[in-house]
Amino acid sequence: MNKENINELVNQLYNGRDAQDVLEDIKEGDRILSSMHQVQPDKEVLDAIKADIRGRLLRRSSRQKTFKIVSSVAACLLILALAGIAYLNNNKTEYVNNEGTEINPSQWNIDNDIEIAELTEELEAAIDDILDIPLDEYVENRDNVFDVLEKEIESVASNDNFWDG
Amino acid sequence: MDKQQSLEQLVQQCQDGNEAAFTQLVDMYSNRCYGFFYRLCGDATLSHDLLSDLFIKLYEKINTYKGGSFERWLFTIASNIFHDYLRFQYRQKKLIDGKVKEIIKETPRTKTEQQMIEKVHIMIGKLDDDTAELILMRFFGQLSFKELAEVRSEPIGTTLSKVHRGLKKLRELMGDTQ
Repeated sequence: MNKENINELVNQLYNGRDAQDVLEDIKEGDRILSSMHQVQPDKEVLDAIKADIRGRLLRRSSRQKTFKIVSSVAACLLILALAGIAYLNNNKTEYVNNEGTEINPSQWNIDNDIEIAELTEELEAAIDDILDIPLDEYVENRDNVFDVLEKEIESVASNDNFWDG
Repeated sequence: MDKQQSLEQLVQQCQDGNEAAFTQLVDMYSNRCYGFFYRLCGDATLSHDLLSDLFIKLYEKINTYKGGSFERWLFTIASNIFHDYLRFQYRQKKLIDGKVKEIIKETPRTKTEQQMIEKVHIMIGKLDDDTAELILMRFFGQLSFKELAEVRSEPIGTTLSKVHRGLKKLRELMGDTQ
C-alpha cells in the first residue's frame, strides 16, 4: 500500500520475534481497514466544489486582467508625465541661460562700469535741475504773487460797480 | 513518466490556474479524502462540508506546495481542517451540549445511515482520536511511516509504535466481536 519497505523499517526498530508480531499486527490491521466498504462523496457536492473553484479562477483571471490594464495605463501616464517633465526642464534651462547672459556680472567690464557711473551722475544732475527750477521760480515770484493778489482785492473793494457786472 | 512526475505536472498546471487540472485533482483525491473525514467523524453531511473546505483550501494554498509528497501535503491540510472543526465543535458543545444530545436521541436514524454504520467503523470509533486519525491518514492518504512522522513532527519510531498499537487494538476488537 505505502511507498516503503515496512519489513526493513520494522526490523530496524524491533528485534526478532517482536518484529514478526508487529508486522503481523500491521498487515492484519491493514486487511481489516481494506474490508471497509468504500464511501464516496455525492456527485452534487463534487460538482459544487468544481464550480466554486471555477468561479474563483474566473474572478482571479478577471482581477489579473484588470490589474494588467490598470498597470498599462499607469505606465503610459508615468511615461507621459516623465516626458512632460523632461520637456519643461529643457525649456527652463534655455530660459535660465538667456537670463544669465543678460545679467551675468562676469561679462561686465570696467568700461561698462564707468559708463554706467557717468550716466548715473548725469541722470542725478538732471533730476536736481528739474527739482531746482520750479523751486527757484516759486521763491523768486512768491512776493509778486502776493502783491498782485493784494492789488486785485483792493481794486475789487474800491470799485462799487464791480458786483454789478 | 512515472506517477509522481505526472502528479507534479498536474500540480504545476493547477498553480498556473488551469481549471481542468483542478478538476482532475478533485477527481483523483475526493474519494480518499472523503473516506478519511467520514471514518473520523461518521457524519456524511459534515464530511461533505469538510471535503469542500479541503478543496477550497487546496485551491488557496496550491502555490505553497514546493514539491515532495503531495499526499503528505494534502492530508496535512485535511488533518488541520479536521482539528479546526474539532476545536469549533468543542466551543459549540460547551454552549449547547444538553440540547444537542436530546435532539440526537430523539432523531431516528434512516435505513441508509444504519447500513453505513458498519462494524469496522464502530471499532475505529473505539480507538482514541489521535490513533484513529493516524491510522486513517496512513490508510486513506497512503502515507509512509516516514511521511506520517513528518506530518506529526515526531520520530518515526514513535509513529510506528502508535500505528502498531492502534492496528493491534483494532484487530483485537474485531476478533472479540467475530
